[in-house]
Amino acid sequence: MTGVSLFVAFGPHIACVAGAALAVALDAFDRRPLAVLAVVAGMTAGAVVAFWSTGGSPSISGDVVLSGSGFSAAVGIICGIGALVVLGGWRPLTRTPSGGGLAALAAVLVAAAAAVAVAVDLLVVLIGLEAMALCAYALVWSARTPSATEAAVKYFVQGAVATGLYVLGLAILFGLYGSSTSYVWVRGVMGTEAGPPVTTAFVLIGVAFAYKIGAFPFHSWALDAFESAPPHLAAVMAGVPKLAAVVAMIVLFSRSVFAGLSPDYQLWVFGSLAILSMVFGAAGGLQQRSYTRMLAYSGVAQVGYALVGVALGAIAMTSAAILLTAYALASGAAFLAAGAFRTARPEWDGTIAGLAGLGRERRLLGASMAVALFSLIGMPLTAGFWGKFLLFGVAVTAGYWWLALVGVIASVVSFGYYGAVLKSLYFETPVGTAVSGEEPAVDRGAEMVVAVLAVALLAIGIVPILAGFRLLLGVLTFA
Amino acid sequence: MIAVELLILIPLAGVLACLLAGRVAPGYARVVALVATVGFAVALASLAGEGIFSGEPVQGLRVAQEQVPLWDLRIDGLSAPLLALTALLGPVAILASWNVEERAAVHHSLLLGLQAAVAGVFLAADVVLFYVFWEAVLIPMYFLIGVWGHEDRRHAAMKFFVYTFAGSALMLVGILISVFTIGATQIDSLIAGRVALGEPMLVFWLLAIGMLVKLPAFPLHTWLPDAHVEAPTAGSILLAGVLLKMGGYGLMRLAIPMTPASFAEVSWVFAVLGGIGIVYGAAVALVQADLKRLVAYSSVAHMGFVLLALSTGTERGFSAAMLVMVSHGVVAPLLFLLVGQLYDRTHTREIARFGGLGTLTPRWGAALSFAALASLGLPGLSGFPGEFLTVIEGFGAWSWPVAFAMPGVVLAAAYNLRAVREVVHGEVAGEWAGIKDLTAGDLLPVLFLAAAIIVLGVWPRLVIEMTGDVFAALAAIIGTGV
Repeated sequence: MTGVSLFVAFGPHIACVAGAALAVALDAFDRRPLAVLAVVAGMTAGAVVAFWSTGGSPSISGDVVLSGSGFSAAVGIICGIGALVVLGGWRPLTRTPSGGGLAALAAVLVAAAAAVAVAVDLLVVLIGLEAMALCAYALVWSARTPSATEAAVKYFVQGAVATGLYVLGLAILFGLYGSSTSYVWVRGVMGTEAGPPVTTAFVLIGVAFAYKIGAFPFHSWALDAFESAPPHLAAVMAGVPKLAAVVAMIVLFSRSVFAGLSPDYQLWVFGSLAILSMVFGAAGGLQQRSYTRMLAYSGVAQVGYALVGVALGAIAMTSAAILLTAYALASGAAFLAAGAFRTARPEWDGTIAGLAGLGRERRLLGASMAVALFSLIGMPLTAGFWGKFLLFGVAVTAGYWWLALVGVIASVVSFGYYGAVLKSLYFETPVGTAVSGEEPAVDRGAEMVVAVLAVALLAIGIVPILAGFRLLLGVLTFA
Repeated sequence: MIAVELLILIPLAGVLACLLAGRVAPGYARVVALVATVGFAVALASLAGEGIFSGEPVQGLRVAQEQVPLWDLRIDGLSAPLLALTALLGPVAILASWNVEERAAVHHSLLLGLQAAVAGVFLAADVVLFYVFWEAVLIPMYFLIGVWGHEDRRHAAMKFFVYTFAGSALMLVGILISVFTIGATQIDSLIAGRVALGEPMLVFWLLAIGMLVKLPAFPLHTWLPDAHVEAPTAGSILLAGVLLKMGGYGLMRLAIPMTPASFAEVSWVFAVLGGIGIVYGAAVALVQADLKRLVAYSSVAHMGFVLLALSTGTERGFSAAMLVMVSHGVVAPLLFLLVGQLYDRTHTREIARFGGLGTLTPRWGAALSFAALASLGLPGLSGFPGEFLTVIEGFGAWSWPVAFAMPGVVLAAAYNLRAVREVVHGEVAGEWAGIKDLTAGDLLPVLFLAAAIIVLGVWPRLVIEMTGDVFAALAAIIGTGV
């Protein structure tokens, strides 16, 4: 273990946490802009280090994390999107008391997510998931409204149950195979036999993950949390943890500890969760009037698509990662846009109908939102299309074309709620605009970041058409 | 040939130029858009030397082979007539929307984006690229209907998107199964490797349903009347003129050659749906009170002919389908253009409120009468050759049951002539006394389309020559029985 490879493996996490620590210190002196800057710089540095080390095949560093190839790229994407999204929250973060502290929490969340994505130790995964969740509780609560407090408590209680299940599963494995929680060790002593205790541990840990990513029927915390969290912070919580958790799930369930189990277990457990989440997320989304609650349901549906990847196992890893990268970019844009909408129209009641005509008033924001929504639908020319295309392609290759069929039907249904936003933004005329003499404020920072996210979605959508898939697939190869 | 790529790049460059020009002065945007559509036509015409209009295939630029070449464009006899149609309708659509004032630059750039996407569908030689363009068509059309449409535009835009997106989502599953089973994305390689498909019938229906929605075939047509009626004039022109043709094109380009045996097995379904469409579309058109809705239902009837012609699976049947598509691609836009011009002047499309427009607006009246005659299939005009050939081939393939579709021909005469009688002839409706006839600028696109109708009517070989080789090959594929 050379110093260089250790630095490469842990560098991104250290950079994020260092940024967070600096931010906390700066926030104590009420230097909020500097604190946010420190966080953004830390995560950017993390992304740079991670992308710099994507070469070669994955290797285990310090018995704890994987690095190299797609694993480093996933860390880079997590840190990069985290940095962009926090930057997009510049205006609200620098204007709320202890905004620097909130930015620091976001950075710790990102660092924890980056750890979960590459961890190869059951205990490290647990600690990562817990760190992520603790930050997320606080971020939800920071809205300081009664509904946010309630959502945070609900989230906390349900999260504690999930942790409990995970610990139970861990206890079973530790009890059976003792002495270490590293994937390599457990896999080594487990052999190929998979008795009932291992299956039980598999189900417990699987359900714990399903809670953490908000899959149906373990999603109810997510609806309230994403609806009442401050939107610029929900933007961090929406995509990045899901990307991390799904990468971790595939490594855990299909490539290491539980790889000896019959693939049918994965297929039936996660396949049914996938179908339920896709169907329920899409159907639930249709009922929503609140914009952010609709996005929460949309998250449930997107988790459903990603779970198709978990159900299919290792062969779907790249495509699931691309799908969730697209989701992280698009959901980040959609939540940040909610904050920008609020700034541009302070009387906005948070409903989809209340966005009437905003696409025409804030043109760049509207156009970027349209790109993000089309990507969430899965329209060609955006990143979301390739995510679904490749993932459903894997499903078809594996012989499960009906999983793809459910997926595309859910995508069609999802147009019902994404399209409702498009309709509001562009087809409706603004009603009852406040005629207060002063010009409404504009959150240019958020709008620019949303535009950058939209450009990224378009670039990922268009480049493969012209240059082939090699670039896209090459970055996220986990072999 | 770079000129093949230009067919997509010119309208795309036009989109940007149009938006920029609109910032300088709103009036510039339409000029830029017109220049771009003419540029498209010139680029296509420049390929005449390569023989595209006699059915010679012309390949676009090849991307380096070590990459997965998704970008792969080609013109052949199947796409050439439809590209020509796209080139013809581009300037017509811009001229038809010359007086749009509400955010004209965005409107025109969406039209250009639509043209680029439709051209891409007809040019793509790679199935993934084909699908990308197929879906990309939805986006500009959705906004054109939703923002610039008439009273019920929001509902119509959503319905249009959901229906066609649902169809193409199923098509995507069919494409995924083909691509990942056969392990190729080029359409030619897929067709060559089609024996590897495990469940060809499933693939056929998945592919075909997306295309039947687009065509649209009865009973999947219900999005069409709303979308056609609510769309702005230029939108209706492109929707009827080229978007519907994507359905027939897709069937002949992909669904039928990919799974010819399955097609042959169920082609009777096409014949039945086509026959129902012919009669049903015409019968419903006959009772419409809204002139634009009448034209919309006439499209359902005409597309019924396309389906009936396709169902024969013969070389001449495919030619007939193409002739009907091209003819409908000029006649329906002319009708929509005229209805749009009338609406601009009167702000109504209610047939009962008109009468005697032949006296008040003689040029408009003459043009509508001409278009109606073309629509009902008068010999000498474009509608006749295709429908006549369809009936002959249909009789050859399905024998006497084709007679069930024949009332549709009579009804076509009835609804077209009823429209002419009630709107152009009859007592002069007093409320339109001061109405202005078509100006020279209004007449330009009308004459353009009328000329095309006459040329296609007297010289249908123009189209048949382009498509001959392709359809002979297609019929041969069906003949192999695999």
